[in-house]
Amino acid sequence: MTRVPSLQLAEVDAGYNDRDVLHDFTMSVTEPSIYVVLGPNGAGKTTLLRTIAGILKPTKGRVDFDGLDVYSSKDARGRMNYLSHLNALPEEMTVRQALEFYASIEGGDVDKALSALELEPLQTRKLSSLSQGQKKRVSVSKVLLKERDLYLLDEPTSNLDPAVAKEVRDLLLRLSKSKIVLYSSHNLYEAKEIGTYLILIKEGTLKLFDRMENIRAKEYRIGIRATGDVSSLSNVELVNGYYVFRVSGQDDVGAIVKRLVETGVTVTEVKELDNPLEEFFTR
Amino acid sequence: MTAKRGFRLGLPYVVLSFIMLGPAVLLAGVSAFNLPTHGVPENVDLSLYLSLLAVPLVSLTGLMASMPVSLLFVHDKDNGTLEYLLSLGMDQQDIFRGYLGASLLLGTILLAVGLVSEVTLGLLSRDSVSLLATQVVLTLALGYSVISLTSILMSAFSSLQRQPMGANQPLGLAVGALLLAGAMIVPAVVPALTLVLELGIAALVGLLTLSLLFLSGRLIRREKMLP
Repeated sequence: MTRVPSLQLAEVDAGYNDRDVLHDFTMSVTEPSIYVVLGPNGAGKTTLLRTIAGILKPTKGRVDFDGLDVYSSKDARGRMNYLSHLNALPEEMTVRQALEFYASIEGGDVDKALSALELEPLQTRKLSSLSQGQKKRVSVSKVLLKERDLYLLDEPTSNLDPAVAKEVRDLLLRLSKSKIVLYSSHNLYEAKEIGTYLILIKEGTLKLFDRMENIRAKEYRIGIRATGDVSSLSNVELVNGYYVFRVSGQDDVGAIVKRLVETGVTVTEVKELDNPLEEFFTR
Repeated sequence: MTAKRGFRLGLPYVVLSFIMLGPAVLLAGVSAFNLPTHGVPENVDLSLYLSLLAVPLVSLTGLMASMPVSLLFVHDKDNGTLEYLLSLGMDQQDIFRGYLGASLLLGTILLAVGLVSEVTLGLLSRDSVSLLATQVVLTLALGYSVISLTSILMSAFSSLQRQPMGANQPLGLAVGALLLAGAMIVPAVVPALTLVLELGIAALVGLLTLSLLFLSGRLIRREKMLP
């Protein structure tokens, strides 16, 4: 049977230079999944990840990973990996040398890490000669050197082009089958796409911790491209080629499409125009 | 690995150290030449003074060669490498020890070349064995202790500075250079006590270094090592 790792934060205060950024932060993570940490700039996302990673010492409370205090237990920290929003790469080295450098400290398989993000063609290139996106790929591959139970990733897809960002998201989805992945992002669409749970932080406090599927906006809009007469449906406006409907939730979408089809309209595309997370973000 | 990275990053420092090593080593073999006595006080053995002056100068080249490691520390702090090392379970002392080891390794290259050259020249100049032994012992003691203290101080000052690329780091170098300047004066003022006094300085510096290293976890908070 696979052991399920667990992470507990109990009334944690943490910050920098005697100024707390996190206040009374309590949460419990007991299921392997992707947990998206969202919040505006300065909300405390990075501080939360640094505190869980054992980099910052809580000034109050305790962070436990499988019952071990992460700040004092090297064993606990050995079972997690942290990706900073900075790349943390020795720029004077080649890609392979940099991964070998980290493997010499933490162990792991350099070839596996290189192949995870298809970095083999870049392995002899100096990091200083790579683009920001390429450096980010190397940085992400660094956390894949060794298999861990908990991954703490601070904006892992920033600076990546859409194709590579998708590659990283797919990788995280695969990891999350058996590992806990805490993942901070500013991209609400990405968050909604891959997150199973949402951790919403504002001003250093936990505002919401819930499954993504439970996150619903009071009202959101869908756009439908269709050919035929849609005038039979009330409350609709045409914007940029889309018939825009205001609905209270995803459950209403099926009913609208069904009604359109019944009146002889051909529906060619249905898309969400708003992200329910936006409302939480700005509330 | 850290020493290798430092070497790559600060190659000009290492090259400059080797250039400085030449004149420093020549002083060790100076007794082979007829030195002018005009203007030299009667109680000063110029040949002995210059031979002993080689000790702090060779140590200074070792210190110079170790500088790239301190630059690397700042570089690694700014790009998040230190943060990553902390996340891997290292603490402040582990990190300081890693950079200290690299500094000593780079310094050793210069100290070793300097010592071999000193002894060779000394033997060619037919210096006494006791003078050669004094040179060797003092070069090792002073060289390693000053490199260690300077490395720890520069890492500590770099951790504490708020702005990246600030000017705190050279303070550590100034302390190291000051200690070596003291070691240059001792042979001129009290030549008979040079060995004892300079070994005493090295012991004190070594003790201070170890204290700073063991207390680094308390003196430097973790967040000071973050970018």
